[in-house]
Amino acid sequence: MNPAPVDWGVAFRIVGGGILVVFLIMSLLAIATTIMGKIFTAREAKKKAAAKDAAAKEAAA
Amino acid sequence: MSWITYHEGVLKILGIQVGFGNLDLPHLVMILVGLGFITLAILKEWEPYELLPIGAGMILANLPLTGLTSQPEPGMAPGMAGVLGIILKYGLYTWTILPQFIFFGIGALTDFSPLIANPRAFLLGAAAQVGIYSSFLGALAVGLIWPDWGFSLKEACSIGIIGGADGPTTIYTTGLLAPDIMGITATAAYSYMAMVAIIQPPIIKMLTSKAQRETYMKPMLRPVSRPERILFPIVAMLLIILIIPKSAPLVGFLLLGNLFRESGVVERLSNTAQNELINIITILLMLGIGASMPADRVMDPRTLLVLFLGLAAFCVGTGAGVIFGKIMSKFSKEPFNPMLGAAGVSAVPMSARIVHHMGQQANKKNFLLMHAMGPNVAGVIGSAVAGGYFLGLFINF
Repeated sequence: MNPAPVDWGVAFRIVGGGILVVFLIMSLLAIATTIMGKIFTAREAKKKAAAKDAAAKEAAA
Repeated sequence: MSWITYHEGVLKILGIQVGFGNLDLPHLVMILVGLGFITLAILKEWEPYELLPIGAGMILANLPLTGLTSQPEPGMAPGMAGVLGIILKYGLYTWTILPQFIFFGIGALTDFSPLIANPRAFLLGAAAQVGIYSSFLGALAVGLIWPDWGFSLKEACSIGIIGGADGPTTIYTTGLLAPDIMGITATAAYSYMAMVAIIQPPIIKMLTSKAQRETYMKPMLRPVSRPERILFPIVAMLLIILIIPKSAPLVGFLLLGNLFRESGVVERLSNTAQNELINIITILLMLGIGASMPADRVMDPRTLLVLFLGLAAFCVGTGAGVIFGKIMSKFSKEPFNPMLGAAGVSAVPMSARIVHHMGQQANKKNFLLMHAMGPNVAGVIGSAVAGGYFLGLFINF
């Protein structure tokens, strides 16, 4: 088999684009996951604090 | 009937109907290769769920006169298509549905918590995909040295994707871009995944110092809440597919399977995806992969080049992951073991185990498994994205 001659410009554009896209998507996922984590961790902490307050109030009563 | 006529008749029958009369050297070699795969699966337990049926498929497809690999065609008499031919045509070449259902099962089996708890692992999963692109260029460069053995752009993409160390992505991408080399790229991907313990440690040792390998990391990651685990596949699915729509068949099914798992409300469906479905599809897919390697295709010098370039992709991916890990360790506030980068090639969970094992060898206090699982599952997403990117360049669904 003898494929058509390689257009190296196209080949390097494919490589550049591919690496860029993979890093872009993974970075966006990392950012989205970090934000999600912060929101849910804060919510959990709030819930825990509220439960603690309620328990303290109950104990005081 | 004379004695000579009788023997001529017998020889004719042997030539037409008996397998031995039609067994040539290339087919015999392929049968031996199939037996080799079965031996490795049974004796060494190297990826037995994949290599055993691949070996069996290879043997069945290369036995002469069986008709097992005859693909259904319009106007064909009923019953003339072989079972392996039907699997090949509808499962892999025309409909290409089997790899997606494997991904569905993998999604249902995967716990993304280590990645959600440590999102920077996404970047390690991205860095390890560099191997894919290096072998893509390597495959194209073959034509400069040996013009007769050169690879086309589509074939180069299919060879590069082996570096993702992800069987279903390799099969799906190659099935659509270069079906002629699908069998060999898939077998290479699974074989190298089986040989992670041999391939990765020397590269990791070469690129890291003893002190770096000894780096201690706290073994526990933060607990991940259920809402986070449910939201993750939805957010990731939307984000990835809206950027690279052609990755939907892989990423969509992977994350759909994961949503089934994490939702907690479709336990029966999730269990089916994790067990019966993935097992049935594995049998069909791996037999098909074995059957897609008839002797005339595999006994081609270019096959050796595919194997070599695939291995190079895997090695470069491991190296790129480790180097990126070293860069991350420089910027990390907390101690960061750069070996974690090697787990960015998917090969779940083998490469994570290798990193964990090497971490313990260097420092007995180290327990890196959960840290390594993050980049490891990120690698699955990364390679599916890379596969989708290649498909987007050439395929219009």
